[in-house]
Amino acid sequence: MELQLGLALPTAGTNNNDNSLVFGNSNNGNHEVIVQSWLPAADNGGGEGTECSDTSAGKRRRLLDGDVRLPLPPVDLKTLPLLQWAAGEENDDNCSVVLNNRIEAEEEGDSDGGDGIVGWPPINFRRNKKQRNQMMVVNRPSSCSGECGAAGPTPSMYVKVTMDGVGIGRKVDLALHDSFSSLRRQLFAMFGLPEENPWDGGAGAGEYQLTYQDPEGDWLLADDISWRSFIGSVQRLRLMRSSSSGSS
Amino acid sequence: HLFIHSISIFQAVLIILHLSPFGSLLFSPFSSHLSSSSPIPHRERESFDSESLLSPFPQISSSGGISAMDRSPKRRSISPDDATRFPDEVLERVLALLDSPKDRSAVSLVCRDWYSAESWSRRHVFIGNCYSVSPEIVARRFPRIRSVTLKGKPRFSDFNLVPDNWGADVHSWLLVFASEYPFLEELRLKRMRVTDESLEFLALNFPNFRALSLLSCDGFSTGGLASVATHCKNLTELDIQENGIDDFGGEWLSCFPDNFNTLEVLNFSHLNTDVNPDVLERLVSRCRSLKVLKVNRSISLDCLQRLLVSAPQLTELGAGSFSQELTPRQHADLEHAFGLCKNLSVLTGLWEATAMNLSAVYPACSRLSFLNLSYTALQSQELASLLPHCPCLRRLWVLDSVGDKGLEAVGANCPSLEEIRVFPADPFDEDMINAVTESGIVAVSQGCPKLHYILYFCRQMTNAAVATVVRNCPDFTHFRLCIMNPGQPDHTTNQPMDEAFGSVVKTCKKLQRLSVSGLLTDLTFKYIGKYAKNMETLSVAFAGSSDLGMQYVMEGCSKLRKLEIRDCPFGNAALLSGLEKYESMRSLWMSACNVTMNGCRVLAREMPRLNVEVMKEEGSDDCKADKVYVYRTVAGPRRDAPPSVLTVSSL
Repeated sequence: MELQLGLALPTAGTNNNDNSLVFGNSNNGNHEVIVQSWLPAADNGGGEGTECSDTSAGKRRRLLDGDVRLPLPPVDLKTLPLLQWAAGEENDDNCSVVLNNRIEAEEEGDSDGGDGIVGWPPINFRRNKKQRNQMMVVNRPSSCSGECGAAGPTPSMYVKVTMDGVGIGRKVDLALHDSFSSLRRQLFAMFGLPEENPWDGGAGAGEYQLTYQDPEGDWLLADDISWRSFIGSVQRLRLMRSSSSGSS
Repeated sequence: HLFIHSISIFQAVLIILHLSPFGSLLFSPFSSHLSSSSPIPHRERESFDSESLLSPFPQISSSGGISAMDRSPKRRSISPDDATRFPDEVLERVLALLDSPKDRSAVSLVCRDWYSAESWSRRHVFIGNCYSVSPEIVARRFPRIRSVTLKGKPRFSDFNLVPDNWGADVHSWLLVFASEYPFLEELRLKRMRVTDESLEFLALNFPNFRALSLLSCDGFSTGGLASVATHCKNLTELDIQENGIDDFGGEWLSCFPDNFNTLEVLNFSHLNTDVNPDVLERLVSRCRSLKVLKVNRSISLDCLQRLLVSAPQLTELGAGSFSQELTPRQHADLEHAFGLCKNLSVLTGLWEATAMNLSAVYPACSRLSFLNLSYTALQSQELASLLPHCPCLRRLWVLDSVGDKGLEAVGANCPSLEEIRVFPADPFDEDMINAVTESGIVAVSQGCPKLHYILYFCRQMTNAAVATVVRNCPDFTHFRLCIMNPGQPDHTTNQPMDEAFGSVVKTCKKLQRLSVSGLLTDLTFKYIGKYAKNMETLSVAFAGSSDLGMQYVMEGCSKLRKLEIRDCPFGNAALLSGLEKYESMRSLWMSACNVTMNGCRVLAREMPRLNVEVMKEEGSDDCKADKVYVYRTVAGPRRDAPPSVLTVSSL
């Protein structure tokens, strides 16, 4: 089965030693991607092997049977090896090719999915593209002219999201939302939380609070702030179990 | 003598107008003669004449068969010698009552007079492939057209499989229309290239122009819309859907003159940038005939509320962004505004709707027949709360975020449902939970026996589930199932999905359109060829085991018109098995199959009235035909093809 790894690790640059983050701490600059794919029923003289490095849009890419593995220093927790990522370097060229495909593909409106097949699944590429673009532009007048630093319309604003107790981090495109409630809904769907789970953690086990990391590296609760300010300063998100003590 | 003559004509007209439903009944059996050029058989002609109601009529003369394409219709005036003839003007009046293009085509083959009268009375022409005919030929054939529908690129261009500069530019058509159809009123384009220059040309050269509809087109910007708004004084319809448009801002809306008030349809839902809400509100309030209004996401809920109050006569509404946080007062106002809309039959838009806001639309839902929720990732609970308010729902589009539970709610609340489309909220996310499975589609089929159209994106399916679905709903006309992992088998038995589609074609006799997916062998196509006798459109991807698969389809599906295939092991033998078939089809698309240039050359040689086009990809093998597009045409090879599109000739 295909594994699409959304996220990332803290870097040596931050002071975050929170053990509940389940990704290990490693050095910068080394990364590993494991990509497996199934073999489609029709094999059209395949054997192109692992074409992960082919990122040019418009070419049909097939990831055939094969793993691509690049070296990584050992991770100290029992997680799946993940792409290591320096905070704020989201679109760095060192990043995972698979993820780059996805970002570039979505930015270009190419409906090339994570498994590299052009035009599959057969959804009008304008449908998804329009939804993303429109969301960003609706935000534009009200949000950060200077904070976002975007000269023209940038279609996406991905930040990493981790949830306590979940081994795999995800990414969410904040440009698709203009309120906490819609962001919440997507996060719930992503992590499989029941809908009634309120932000402002009440009693009961399993309640989660949304926290975010600001540019100074501090983790703050995400309910004391307006959406506009939030967008302007959020670097990463974390769904923190409210049983643990507040933000670090 | 002339007086008596005119009285009997008058009676004739009255009787024929009275009988027009009968007339179309009489004509439709002739559609089987579409491709023949012989006149009506003698026997049927006699029964027509001997009907007592029609006995005042003189015998209609027949003049033998005609070849349709190269006759230009002439007008004939009445002279005393023609006293026994049926005047052309009357015949035209009668034939003008025919709407169906198939009936009209049949009528035009009856005899020379009917051919002529039909040509002069035809007002609307539908051209399914803009390269199958040239605008000059169309203008010669139908001199009095007021409304044109044109489709351009192959459907797979929606999925980025066709290069941007492929063609289908409307401008050459507009140039001919400007001289031949100066009174053109309506233009509907799908998958065509349209530039701002063309839009301006359109706006300036057709004084009666009223209705413009652009779906999945590209090449234009909001500047082109501004031209249309500025110059089209009688515009009733501006319908801009899902296009590749360069959005430079919302000023185009302000280009409608202050005294302009004829708009009936306004759809700008897929434009990105803000329009001025005041301008929109003023426009809506002065267009009292406005029936369809679909706004884009920049329109706030406050503005929407004012628009609804000002235009409660709307029958179709595309709401804007629905995620704004509302005070209780605002919510009440919005709900009240929706309550004023007693005639709403279509509701769409509703981007990013929250559960709270969604409840504001309930008062408007009692007559809703089409609800499009595919722009908002609703959860099952939200859908379950909304549906009981829509008892008349016939068409529903949702995202798969509603999950199987949401679809159970559909089955439980929508007994009149005829069409359901479930789109993936996150098509590229493999980990997607809450997506829909085979249980969802079964639940819908159990509660909605009238279902005849389904488009379903899912990540798992079973043969048994599909068999159950078609047993519950045997009237499917459109069955489009997309299992998103290519080549995925039945997840409980690990068998191919052959039996699923076998059950579809065996049970659903009226099936017109089929899209298959999952792990499929040639057996699926054997079933399709054997049973899908009414199927007109077939879409295939990542399926089949050998050439036999496609051969079964080409040999068995007599009504096939459009076939699109990608990533299948079908080669030249398969391509050539359809030799006799392609002239009765609109088009064939094959990409990433095993067809070679040689195979294409053979096809082009054997069938000179087809255009066989190959799109080569960079760096591919010289003899491979990466993407093949074959279509019938009377206009000869394209002259505007870009370098990447080769028209294969037999040389």
